[in-house]
Amino acid sequence: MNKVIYRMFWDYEREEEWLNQMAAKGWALVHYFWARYEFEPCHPDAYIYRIELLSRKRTDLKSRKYLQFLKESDITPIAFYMNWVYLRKSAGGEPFQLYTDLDSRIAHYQRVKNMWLGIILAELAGSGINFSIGLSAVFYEVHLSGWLNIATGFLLLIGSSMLFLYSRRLERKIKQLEAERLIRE
Amino acid sequence: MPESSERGALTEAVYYILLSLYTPMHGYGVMQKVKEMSGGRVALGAGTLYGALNTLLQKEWIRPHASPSSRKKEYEITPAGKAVIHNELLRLKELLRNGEKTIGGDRNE
Repeated sequence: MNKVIYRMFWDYEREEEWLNQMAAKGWALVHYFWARYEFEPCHPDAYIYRIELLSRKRTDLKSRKYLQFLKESDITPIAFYMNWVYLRKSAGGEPFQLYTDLDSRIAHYQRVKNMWLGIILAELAGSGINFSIGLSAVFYEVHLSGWLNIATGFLLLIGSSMLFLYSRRLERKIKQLEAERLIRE
Repeated sequence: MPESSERGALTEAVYYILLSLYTPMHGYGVMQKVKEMSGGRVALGAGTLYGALNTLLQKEWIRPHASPSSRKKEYEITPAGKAVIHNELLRLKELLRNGEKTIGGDRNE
């Protein structure tokens, strides 16, 4: 009997941690789409999950080659969502990390941060447009639609500030790793 | 100093990848080989390995190896790659020599 859970994460590392806790309890992710996680029963600790942001669309040749390489290393893509891929490997008592040196870890964090910065900018632009439409509508006494625009602008503004806080956290992680890189690989 | 423009130290990952490719093998084989050589200390992530292999292919320190036995993509080291390993060994020996000279026989210091 499959189990469906709805949840939302900004932070892919927390999401990863949660998926691995689920797997440890005997629930293996089989589908993901828009905050909807579907799990099927598995042996506890049978799998480890990792989430990666691909640098290109998954249909891009570059991504296909990379995914093929992962498959040859027994790492299976379970779900795709935009440029994100949910990967899993049979645990077998071994740790499973995609990126193990400072350079490649920094590069992946950087990719994630840039993706979020793009979304933050889009949200800010959307927020600004909604505010200006809303304010002029209210000014011309089109009250209902005006207030709807203002409310939308406000929500987008809140969303982008939350994402901004998260991207600051990513930035701090990158800085830490970069400091570390000055003294070792 | 010899002419080579590649005088920097190799990363540990690159060093071990090149060493393991003295025998042609596929990516997963490289991961296992590196782990075995380092006594379990160096576990290469698949993403890190993939990036390193592509860079090494571009530099022509390794090349694809056509294997009739395996459908997985295999790689092997090139003469240029072997020269890099040779230089790296000289550099590592220098590091070791200086380290040992400085702390003397007393390694517990």
